[in-house]
Amino acid sequence: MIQNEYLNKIVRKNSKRIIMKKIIYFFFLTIILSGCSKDFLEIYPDTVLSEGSYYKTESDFVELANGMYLPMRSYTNNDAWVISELISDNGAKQFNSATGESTKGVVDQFLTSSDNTHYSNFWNLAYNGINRCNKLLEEIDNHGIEWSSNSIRERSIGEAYFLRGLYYFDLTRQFGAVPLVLNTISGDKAVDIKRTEEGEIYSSIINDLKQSIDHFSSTEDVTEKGRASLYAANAILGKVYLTDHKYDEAKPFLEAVINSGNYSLLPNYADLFDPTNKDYKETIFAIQFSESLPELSNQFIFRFAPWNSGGDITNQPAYNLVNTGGYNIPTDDLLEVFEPGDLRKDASINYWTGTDWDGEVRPIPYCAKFKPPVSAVDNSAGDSFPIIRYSDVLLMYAEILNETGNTSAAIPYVEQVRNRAGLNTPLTDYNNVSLDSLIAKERQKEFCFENQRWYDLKRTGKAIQVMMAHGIRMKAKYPFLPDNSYQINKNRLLAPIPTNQIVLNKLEQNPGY
Amino acid sequence: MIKTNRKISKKILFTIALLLTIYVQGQERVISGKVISQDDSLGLPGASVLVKGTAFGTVTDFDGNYNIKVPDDKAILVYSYIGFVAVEETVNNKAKIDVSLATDATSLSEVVLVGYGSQRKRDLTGSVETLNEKTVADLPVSSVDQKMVGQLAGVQVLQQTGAPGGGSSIRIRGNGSIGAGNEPLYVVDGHPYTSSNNQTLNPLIFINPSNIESITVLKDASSTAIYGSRGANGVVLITTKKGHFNQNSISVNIKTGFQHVPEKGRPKMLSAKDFIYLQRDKIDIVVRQRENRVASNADYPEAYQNPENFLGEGTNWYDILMRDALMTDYNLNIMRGNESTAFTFNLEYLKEEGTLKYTGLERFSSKLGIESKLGESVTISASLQPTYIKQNRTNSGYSRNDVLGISLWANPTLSPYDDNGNLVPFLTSPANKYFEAWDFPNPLYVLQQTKMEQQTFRNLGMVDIEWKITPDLTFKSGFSTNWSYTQYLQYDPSTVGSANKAPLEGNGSSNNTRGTGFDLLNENTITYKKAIKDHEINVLLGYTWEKNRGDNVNISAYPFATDQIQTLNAAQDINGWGQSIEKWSLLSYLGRINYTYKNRYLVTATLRSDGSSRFGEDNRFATFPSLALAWRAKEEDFLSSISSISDLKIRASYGKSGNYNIGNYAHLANINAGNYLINNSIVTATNVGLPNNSLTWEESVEGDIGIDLGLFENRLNFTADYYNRRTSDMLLDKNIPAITGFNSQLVNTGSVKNEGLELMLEGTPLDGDLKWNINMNISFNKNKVLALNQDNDPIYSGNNDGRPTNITMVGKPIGQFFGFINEGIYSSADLTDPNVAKYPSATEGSAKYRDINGDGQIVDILDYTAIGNPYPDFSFGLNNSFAFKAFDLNIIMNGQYGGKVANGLRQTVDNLQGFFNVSEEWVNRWRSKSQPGDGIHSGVITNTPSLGHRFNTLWLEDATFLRISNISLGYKLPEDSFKSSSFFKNTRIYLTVQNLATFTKYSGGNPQGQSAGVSNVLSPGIDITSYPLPRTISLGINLDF
Repeated sequence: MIQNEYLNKIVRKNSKRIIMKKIIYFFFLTIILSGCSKDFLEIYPDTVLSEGSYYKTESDFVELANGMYLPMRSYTNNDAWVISELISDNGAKQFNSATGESTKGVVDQFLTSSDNTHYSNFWNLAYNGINRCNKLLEEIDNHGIEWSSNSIRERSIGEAYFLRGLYYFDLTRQFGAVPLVLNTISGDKAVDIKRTEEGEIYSSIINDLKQSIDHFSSTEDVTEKGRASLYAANAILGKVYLTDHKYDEAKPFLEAVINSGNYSLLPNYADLFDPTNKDYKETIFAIQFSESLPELSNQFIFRFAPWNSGGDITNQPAYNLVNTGGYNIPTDDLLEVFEPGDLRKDASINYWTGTDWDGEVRPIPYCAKFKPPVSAVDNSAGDSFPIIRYSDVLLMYAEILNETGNTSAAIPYVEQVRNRAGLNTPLTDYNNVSLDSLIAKERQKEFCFENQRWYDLKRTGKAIQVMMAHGIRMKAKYPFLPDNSYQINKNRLLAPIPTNQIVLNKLEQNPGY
Repeated sequence: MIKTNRKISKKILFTIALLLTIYVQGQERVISGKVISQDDSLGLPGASVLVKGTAFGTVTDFDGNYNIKVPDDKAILVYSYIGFVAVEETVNNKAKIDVSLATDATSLSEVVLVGYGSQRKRDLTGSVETLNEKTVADLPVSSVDQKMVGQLAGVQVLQQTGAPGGGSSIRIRGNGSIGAGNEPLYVVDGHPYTSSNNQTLNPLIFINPSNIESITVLKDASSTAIYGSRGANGVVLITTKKGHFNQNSISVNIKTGFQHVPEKGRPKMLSAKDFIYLQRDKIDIVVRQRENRVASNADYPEAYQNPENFLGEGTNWYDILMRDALMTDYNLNIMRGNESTAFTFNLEYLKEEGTLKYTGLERFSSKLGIESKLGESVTISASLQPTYIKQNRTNSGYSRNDVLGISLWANPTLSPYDDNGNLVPFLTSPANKYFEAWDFPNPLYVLQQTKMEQQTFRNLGMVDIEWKITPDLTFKSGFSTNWSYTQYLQYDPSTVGSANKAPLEGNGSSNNTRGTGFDLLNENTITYKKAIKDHEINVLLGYTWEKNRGDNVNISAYPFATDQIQTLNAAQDINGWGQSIEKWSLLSYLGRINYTYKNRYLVTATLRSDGSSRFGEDNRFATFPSLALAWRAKEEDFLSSISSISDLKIRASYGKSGNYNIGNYAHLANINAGNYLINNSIVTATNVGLPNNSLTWEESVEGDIGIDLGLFENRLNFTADYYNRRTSDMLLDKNIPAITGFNSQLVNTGSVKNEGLELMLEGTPLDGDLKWNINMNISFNKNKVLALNQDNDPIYSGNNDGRPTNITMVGKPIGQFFGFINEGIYSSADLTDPNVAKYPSATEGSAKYRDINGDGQIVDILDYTAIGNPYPDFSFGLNNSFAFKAFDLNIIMNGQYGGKVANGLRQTVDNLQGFFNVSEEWVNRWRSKSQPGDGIHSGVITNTPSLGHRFNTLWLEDATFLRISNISLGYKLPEDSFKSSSFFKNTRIYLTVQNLATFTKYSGGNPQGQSAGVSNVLSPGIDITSYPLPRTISLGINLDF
């Protein structure tokens, strides 16, 4: 009996052992079935690449360089025109009794507060662009890439310096002192970075553009239409020096463009704005748009056409303009500045006859530089947006000559621009002061709706005077404008630092906001 | 209730009974017999047979038969089985002893589910609550979460929408997370049920609520830690009905009823006449501003020149969208079982019309299950639960542009029908050069014409094998799959316009989504149970892995030449497309030890280690431990003599669980690709995202102290739990300075505390012919943010015209309301008084706000402050059930006290610019010096930008409510009414009313309504045009064959 029990125990013990073995085996089997845990848990997205598997080839860096343009495209489409053209005496809001206006109209009327989305978008996108440039500059030599041609590497570096400089130039012209970030940074570090003096920002911009010129110098063989280039960097650097009133420094860079022989004025001003036949002869650098994809397109005409014009102008009756159209309507100030015979007027401004804000039917002007889509069925328009044109270089050069006491040498450059516009009368009897004011007028006409006017007004110190006069006219014409609209003082020449950056980044606000 | 639970216990808890058994070790003779249940005379498998005073014993086999060796004739055998009263028999000279066990009336022997197993209720060490499913069986609801309303302490079921099939939100012990979701983990029949919750489709809608056997909620960390990185928000265990061995039944359950939106809570807008006066007020001001004169009657549009001619309220646009909607539910349940195989078959069809016309839900669901014994020790089971759902939706709960939003602000002087009685597609408000209100599409026409149809097919498939290696040792392995296919089609015909945008011929657009989801889960566990003298031990070890993949393709097309053909081929252009593939995997090891000494000292220790693909390599695995102790004081000598105390248990637990609900690839720096144009051709343009290799799960550490007290033979049971849960390393999409190149980054930062008290009282005051059972619960939860980012900057959320509506800040609950403090309206004296703070556009009669920062002026946002708490002080449920002879009556009430709700009507339409109709209360607005109104409601807004329409205290209301959420009355037909036929076993008819009444001061319909357009965690309590909760009256019949 006892023996029996003992045997039983042994048998039971052994069978248990076998069973345990089986279980352990089974467990391991399921583990094996599910794969090794590292592989099992290592999942990468199927629909996008990730950084760990990037930076392998030259084309990865070319793609990153292409990406540096995107934030600028985005703010050019949506924000830059609000805060640099609509705000000026060139553009106004077409009044609309059925919609309120909280973001664009307030900029036009100098009522904006620091939470305006156009300023915050502009800020966010500019720094997004700067970060892309910083990232490319940091990574480009870290991965042992085999370059098919060193020119492509040089070109990519040149683009990064060019765009970083241009992003900062745009930022500082709006906000004045801004945080200077020249490396990629983490969120924790960013909080400690404060606003840098305007002068230092300019030094950095100048340094970037000079670097850009150096790197672009040997890349002529890989120049592509739409990309930043050697002469774009020269022209923008000229503009930076001019904005900083450093005329002598500006001169050689503008001369480099003029003497390059690469650029000339198009015989016909209107040809500059043909989305089907884009210009790269006079246009030195432009943001590229195309109507082939919604992402690549712009919506300028859908913002600038009168809001009640339906599909008359846009050819897209389905697209609702009521809440989004009717901005950058040419003002009387702009309309009056054109002399008779100036071909630029018809190329820049058209009229649509319809009901105006007061219920009266009359021809309402609108910006004609940007065209509706040709083949796209939606609101995808394809006009490129010029950042710098050869005529700008000529007028800047004239301005420098005039400012440095060489008025007579300046005149031919102004005439060159005027002649193309059909104004062939020679400029005689001009002195330093009157030429100065003529150049200002030429610039207003030549570059209307090209986001130059507000910066030109600020650069020439005329902003307060011109805008106050404009405000008085506007209030006389539209009696319902609030009393506090168009109250322009020195503080209003700088844009408000976006509220959320004041909170997140602990930045000091510009005075007056 | 006890009976229901016993049913589950029979099979599932078979193993637990084994722990009371010891092998037979010596004998004089053999006794055999059968242990049966008194109720149904069926054999009880796994019942324990023990020689009293010894450790010798055995268990019954699957049919209830047993053989036991006894030492002598004086031996006494103790027969016991969980859920039954134990019986003792003296052997004497008998050779065969058959015993019939009676049900134990005390709930202590109930067996409740816990993670990866089950336990006797009295052995629980954590905070676990089971819903008495029987009391909610009659509820005319389409998903199980609605049955849980008010039933469980600490479990808040927020009924945010009344849309058929729409989601609800379940919060167990408050909000513990800001960025990673707060919904609990659902476990269906032992398998975690992966789902995402949203307001348009409730994941639980795929489980037929009539087919649910029990719902158990695991609340404290010691119960949830076994689910590791998914347990932090609590776990809801759902068991579906299944057949049992040797049991046959067929039952049919039919419910039908109608739903109606109660008058209380329907928004009241200005009547046609008052709307005309509003329009005239606006024109008066425009004329004065533009032409500096007083307006005359001729300045108004002709239609508005004689407002007194408008009798009545005009068109009530809201009411014309509503209907009394039918709801019908058919259920067939067939269960067949012999001694080795049990078979389950369930079939359901539900049709629920929405109270908003042209919306509704249809569901076909089924369960097919089989369980079979292979020999003595192996049982396999398999089931399929296919469900098909078709939902006709409309957008609601977003803004003034969804149909409910339009129905509020639409011009009441216009009619939805033309002279021939046809619906007018688009309505234009009377206008002139001075002013016009917004034009709008007829919301009823929009509902009728716009197609928003979602069809989903989902199948849950499970296979389980259970192998009893020895009576003490069980191995279990299961595979489950959850496969779904979703097809969504939206078609906006060209005849439907939108606000201020008239429809245009040939302008239809469509949006198509097709998606598949697949989840594969394998779980393997070994359980070892042993009882030696005073020691009982139960060890669980497990290994599981899970893989999930979702694939969605989206195509939008526009325009369509004709609305007659709505398929993609008829579109002129594809204007949007995309594909998303989402994958994740989880790998876990788990273990648990339950140890009981002398039946009175209980210890539970659990450990789970989870590895997840969602986290960076450096943080891929984490371990979640917990420990719980309990003392059954009743078992001690000093209490055993006090008969009035039938049970007393003190529990304490502490543990850690996690929350892994973030995006699948958030730790990776993705290369975001776009396009640019170079050389006039399209090139790829990329950007590198922000990486975060150290990203990991949120951790929740929770302590819980509880007491369970039973009095008077457990006729009165009381449970109290205090808990303190601290969530740290919160997954938070943190805003970062834009100079980094990015605006936000997902990080682990900050912590939140939820502290609370839950009280539950259950009693049977009457237990005679008239039975009365009462169940009360009340829960207090205090939510407090302990830390956010390194500077503890607040998080702003919500959106009212681009400004936040809620603020989350340290020291305060998540998502407090954020806005101006309204102080009435400015008088003319205020305007000239330099000491009264103003904003530039303020005029006499404008809304007056408090100067929070004391700078002498009112500035947008800068003078905003926290203006209210969206959470109640406490919430409660009260359930009374009565039974008298063949009648049963059940009344469920629930409610909350305290907390605020933002009336979204004010946010969306009470904008006094005159474009919209506004709520009735604005009749009392300021109009002029001589008609100053009630001093609260400001006048028509004239200047822009104006601060008149900003989030402010006037928009907040008390969210306290008491709701009679359900009353059901049932009648069981006397059995002898069918005596002549053996066909019917049981027939019961019942009448129920769901959402009978809500008592609240809130002027909206639903104090728990929540906008679908904002996060319900960071922006709670924003009730914007949410789909109304209906009152449902239904009649049902249960037939058992």
